[in-house]
Amino acid sequence: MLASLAALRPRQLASQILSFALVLSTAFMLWKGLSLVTNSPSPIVVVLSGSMEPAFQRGDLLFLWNRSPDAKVGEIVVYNVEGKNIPIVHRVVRNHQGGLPYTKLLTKGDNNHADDVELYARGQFYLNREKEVIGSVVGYIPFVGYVTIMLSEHPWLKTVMLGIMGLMVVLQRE
Amino acid sequence: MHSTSARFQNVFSFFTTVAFTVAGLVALSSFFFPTDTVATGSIRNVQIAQGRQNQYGTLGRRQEFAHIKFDLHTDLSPLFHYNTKQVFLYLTTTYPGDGNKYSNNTVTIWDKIIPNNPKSKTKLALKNQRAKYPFNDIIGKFSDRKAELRLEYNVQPHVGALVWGTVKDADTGSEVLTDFVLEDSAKARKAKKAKAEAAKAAKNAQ
Amino acid sequence: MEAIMERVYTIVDGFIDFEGQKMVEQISTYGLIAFGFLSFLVGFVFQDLVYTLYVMGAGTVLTILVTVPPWPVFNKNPQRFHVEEKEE
Repeated sequence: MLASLAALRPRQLASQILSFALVLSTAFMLWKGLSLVTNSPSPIVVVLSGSMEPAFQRGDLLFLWNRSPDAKVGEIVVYNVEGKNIPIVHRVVRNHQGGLPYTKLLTKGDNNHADDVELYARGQFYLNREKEVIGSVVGYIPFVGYVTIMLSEHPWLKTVMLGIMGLMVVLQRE
Repeated sequence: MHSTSARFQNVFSFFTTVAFTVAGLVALSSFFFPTDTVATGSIRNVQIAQGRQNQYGTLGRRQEFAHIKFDLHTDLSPLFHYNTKQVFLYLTTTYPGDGNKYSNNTVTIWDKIIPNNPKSKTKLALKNQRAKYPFNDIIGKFSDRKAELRLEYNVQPHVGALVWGTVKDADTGSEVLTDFVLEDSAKARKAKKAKAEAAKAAKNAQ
Repeated sequence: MEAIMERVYTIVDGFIDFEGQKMVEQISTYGLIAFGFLSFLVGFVFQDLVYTLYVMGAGTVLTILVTVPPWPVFNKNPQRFHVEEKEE
């Protein structure tokens, strides 16, 4: 069994590493290209909490668009409170704009009773549209992202997957 | 395709391609359903009262709260097709600034989630309904500003693009259902007091 | 031990001949496309996405059962290799 692994010639190995690197860099380019088009640092997000149920469930995939300077009441925005790195997906319930350099938003999860003031920084009562919002939800695919949640919450699944792949490689007689 | 694993990988990856294509077709087909909805809404009562709430940047400062009661009649069935997961319905009030930096303000006063199952009511007939959320302005005073009431919706699909819209008024066809005044409560109280005094004085004079 | 490993290898390998591979490719491609189209139509006509999911799911399982295991029907034309002639 192991003899087949040892028989890999250096050129074959290099060629496999190269095709793997090509796949990785293509994925990276697609991601960054999408970031540019949507003007969002993270154009596709996975829903992590149940605060927007029944609309969004954990594991759903959301597509963001960040090229509109306003965020109207009713839109669903994804934001990072300054200082914290947890993206939150909630709906805009209040919007105050005008002479100020930025629009002030108040958000609330559909499934939450109270609005998001507790989630903001201390002393902060409104969100800054420019600085803290990374995009507005325009599209949605259910369930697809659940794999990433399962892998991050049950790390033993990664070992099982690698084990199965290893077994397949070893048992094949190619 | 020569070995079992090669065949399985091949078939499974083609299945994901087909599944994504079908999902795309379903998402695209959603745009072909007409979304004409109408509603009639009116404000029953607006009462401005002084209140205190330790939120919205006020730190316990006294500010004006509007207590609104409204009527609403609408039929939302055109919005429900096979790719509708739920409709998020919400009432917004939009009002201008008061010579301050916030020239445009929009506040949600009421919302409702209508899921797409046979049990949920897609026709609404609300009478004297109380607004769901406390309504105060970012500067704490209303100062007789005129506000517009709109009924808006957000259709959440099973797969595809989210759609937003405003329900048009059944009589006028405009997006604004009605307007009302957010009165300055201090001024209104003074006016009421002056009127009562004038009536009392008139009575005494008789 | 060797004989058991040999059997394991044969089962895991599941080799089929070239004619069989061509048949499998056609069945899986056309089958999945047909089920995809059918699932969309059924869901659209009956205005219920549940039908789409069931038709697609059932169709995929059926296609996998027909094409993935090395059925004997895919091994009817084994590859004839030129037999080495022994020098007498």
